[in-house]
Amino acid sequence: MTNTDVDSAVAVLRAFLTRDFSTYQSLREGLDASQRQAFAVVLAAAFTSAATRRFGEKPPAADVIEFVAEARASYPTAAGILSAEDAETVIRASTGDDDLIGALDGRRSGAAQTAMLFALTRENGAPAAAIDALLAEAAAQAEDYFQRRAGR
Amino acid sequence: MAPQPAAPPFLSRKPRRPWRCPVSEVYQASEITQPASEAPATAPPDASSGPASADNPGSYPDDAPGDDFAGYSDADIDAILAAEDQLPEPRTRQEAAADTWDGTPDDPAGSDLASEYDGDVAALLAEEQQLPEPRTRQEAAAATWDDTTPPGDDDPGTFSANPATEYDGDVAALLAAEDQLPEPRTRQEAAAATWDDTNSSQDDGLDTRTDGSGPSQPDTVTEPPARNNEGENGTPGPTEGQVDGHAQNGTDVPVTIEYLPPEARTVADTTPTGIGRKPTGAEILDMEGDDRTESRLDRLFDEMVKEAGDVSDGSGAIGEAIVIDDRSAPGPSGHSQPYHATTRTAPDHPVPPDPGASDAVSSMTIIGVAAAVALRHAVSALRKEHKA
Repeated sequence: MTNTDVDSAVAVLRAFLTRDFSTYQSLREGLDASQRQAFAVVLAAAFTSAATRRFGEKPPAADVIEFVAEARASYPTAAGILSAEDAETVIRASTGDDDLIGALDGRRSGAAQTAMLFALTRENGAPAAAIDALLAEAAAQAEDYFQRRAGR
Repeated sequence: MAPQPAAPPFLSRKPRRPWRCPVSEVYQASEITQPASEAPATAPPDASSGPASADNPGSYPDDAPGDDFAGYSDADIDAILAAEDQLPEPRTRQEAAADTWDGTPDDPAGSDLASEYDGDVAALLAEEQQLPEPRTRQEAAAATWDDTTPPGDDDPGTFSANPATEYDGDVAALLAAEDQLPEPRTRQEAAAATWDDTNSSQDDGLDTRTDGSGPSQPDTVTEPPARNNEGENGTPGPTEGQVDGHAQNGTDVPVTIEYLPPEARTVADTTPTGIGRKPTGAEILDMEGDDRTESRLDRLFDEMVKEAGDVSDGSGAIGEAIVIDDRSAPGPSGHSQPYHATTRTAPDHPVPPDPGASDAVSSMTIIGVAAAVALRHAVSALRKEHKA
């Protein structure tokens, strides 16, 4: 795992969050195995940071349920793929409910985190600068994680 | 002689098991059949029974002293006696039991063990004769110890080379071992001595040895305990002490013991000296704060890395759906609306009419004008025809 892999993952996620969908689709399809690992970690790191900022540690269930319901109502096509339970699970897992880590398989977890991250960044019309700051923090966490993982 | 009445009903007898009907039952049967003497006087005497209901004068006088059969006729008494004559000879209980035992499968007389009982007794007596002389429990235990414990093991008797005096050797060894013990003391005395050993010797030095020569049991009191029960906030503070311990290599090392007041001990610590100190809030944060978050993130990242391919696929699938939703969302400028419009401001100018509505009005106006023109042309054409 190299920093280049993390940068590639960050580029994919940035294109998606800034609604540059054509770039997003082309970059995502070109990811190799290492870059996919980097993408998975960057996605999880960015989503965890955004969810913690939005909800705090161990938020009330009502807050999570309300947010997920509004997001699914705004994106009906995505709501047909993503269940409310999966979306709530990833939010609770990233905000302190450790027992839910690993409760979903990779595909459902990736879909839920991607959709909820998009909803979180669009909730208040986050500018591109805020998205860049969020992704920079996620990239730093991912690189730190991979360094520690290489040292194990 | 009076005619003999029918014999009283006799119960069936099992073969080889004679049963004797008791006399009382014979009497009872005679009463049930109602003796002839108690028959109504108006009834004519039965020819077959004859004079059975009449007492024979002089034979069984009813007024004889001690006559229990005064209510019976002589014929009844004769019948009773005749029935008794048919009974077998009286037997003892032993004879009856022996008869009952006969014929059963467990009858020892019917097998080869007929004389087993006497033989058993004889064998037991013979075995008793072979037993040694009686001995005490102590003697038996000593003999067992000597027999089962090989020399050189735990048998104290190994002090004695002569097997004959081995038991005495055991006793001697035990006595010698007892002589080496300290004087007996009570439990209270032992506890007090232990308490004194552990509560003495104060020092502020900490044991920081990491070379494996850890301290052993403290044994020497160096200083009396210095009480320091006032903490920073006026709360009772710990009392520290130092005792000398022996390292594994024999050197003395100071050991610091912290005696905690009950307020400073951890939850559920009721031991005399305290088993642990309650951590402060800062210590708890240092212990669990960042590590816990890092641990959770690492677990989350580990899960994501394990299934990175599926995560990427799931992200791609939901991303395409979000692209569809985003493009299909209507917007005033042709772009999709943001997910959330958190604030809505009042427009400064009146909202212009919708372009679609104005187009419709214009179209209807044009059509109306055209229709009116066409109608006027048609009316003028009809007038010209009438004039012509």
